[in-house]
Amino acid sequence: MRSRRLLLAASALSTLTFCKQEPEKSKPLPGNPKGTFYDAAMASPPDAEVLPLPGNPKGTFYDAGIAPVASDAAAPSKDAATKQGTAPVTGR
Amino acid sequence: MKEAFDLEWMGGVAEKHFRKVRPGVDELPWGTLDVSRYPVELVDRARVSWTEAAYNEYCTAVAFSEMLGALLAAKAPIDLIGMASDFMADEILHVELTSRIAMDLGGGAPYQIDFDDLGVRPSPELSPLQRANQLVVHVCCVGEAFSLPMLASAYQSALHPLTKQVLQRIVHDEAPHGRFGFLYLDWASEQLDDAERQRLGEIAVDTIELFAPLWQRLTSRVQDGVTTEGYLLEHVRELGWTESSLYATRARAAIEDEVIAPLAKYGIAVPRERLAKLLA
Repeated sequence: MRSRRLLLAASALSTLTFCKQEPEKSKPLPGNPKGTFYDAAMASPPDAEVLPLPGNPKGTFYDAGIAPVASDAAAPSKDAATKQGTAPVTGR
Repeated sequence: MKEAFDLEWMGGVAEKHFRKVRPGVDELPWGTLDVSRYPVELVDRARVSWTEAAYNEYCTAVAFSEMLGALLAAKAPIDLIGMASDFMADEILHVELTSRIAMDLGGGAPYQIDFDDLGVRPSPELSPLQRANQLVVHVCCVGEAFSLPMLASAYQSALHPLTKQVLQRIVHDEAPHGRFGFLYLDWASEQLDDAERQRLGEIAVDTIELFAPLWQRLTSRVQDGVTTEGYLLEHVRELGWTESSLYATRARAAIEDEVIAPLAKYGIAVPRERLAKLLA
């Protein structure tokens, strides 16, 4: 039997910095907007049963409102990041 | 039924043929994103983001497949349908590229997807032409026309060779997708009455309304090369993102310049009152 080879394999995220909130219902949507952008709230629960993708079709919803559980841990201030090393801004 | 957003790759003959129609993929600098350079939380966010990108490309492929059926039912010109047929391979290639970046970053994000429920199906009570009009306006005149400048912005922002080259490829491929919508309207326009133009204007603004949270909810800012959350802008850009305040500015401009103005040339007016709220 041929072995199954995956192009994309989902796996748990490394950090538990995101919490689940009630998702918003969205209308079906073809022609999804593309172009990645960075923002503070652009995260999702690591065990999402929901689908918080922006601009996706049918019965899905957008999760911009899903916020970090602990804002200090998930979104450290510049000082916290640099002094405590919780999110090293200089890389590792 | 929802299941993990895992995607299979067959290899062998299938891969060989796919590479023949869309070459130059294996030459990209895969494996060069050094995740140890970045805070682990930022890598997680990037995995989420590139998984979402793969999902969006996958859904666009579904939308194009439905659009192609509608174009055939509406007896659109064969060369126009042939042009759109090529978009399917583009979107599937983009699924591959974005998925591979997610995997290079550590794997796809754990989304649960109903693969049987990814498309949009216009009401069967509509005529074949009306169904085609609706899908083309949704997918191409709004979705793809808006996406192109946003992808170009991400490409301009990207600092790592892998994210840069992947975004360059996607931008290159996407350009005709938005253009297609207005070529279609060149053909269909004479067959549209006032009521249909008004309906299409509503469809356009409905789609824009769904996109609006993308630019309305952004909160991150950059000061002295560091984001509000404490991440280096350099890292954000290496991972292939547009910084959020720049995205918000460009998104609003893209809606006005690439969607509203071209549609107006075909007598498809987007209701200004609704639009004003969405672009505020």
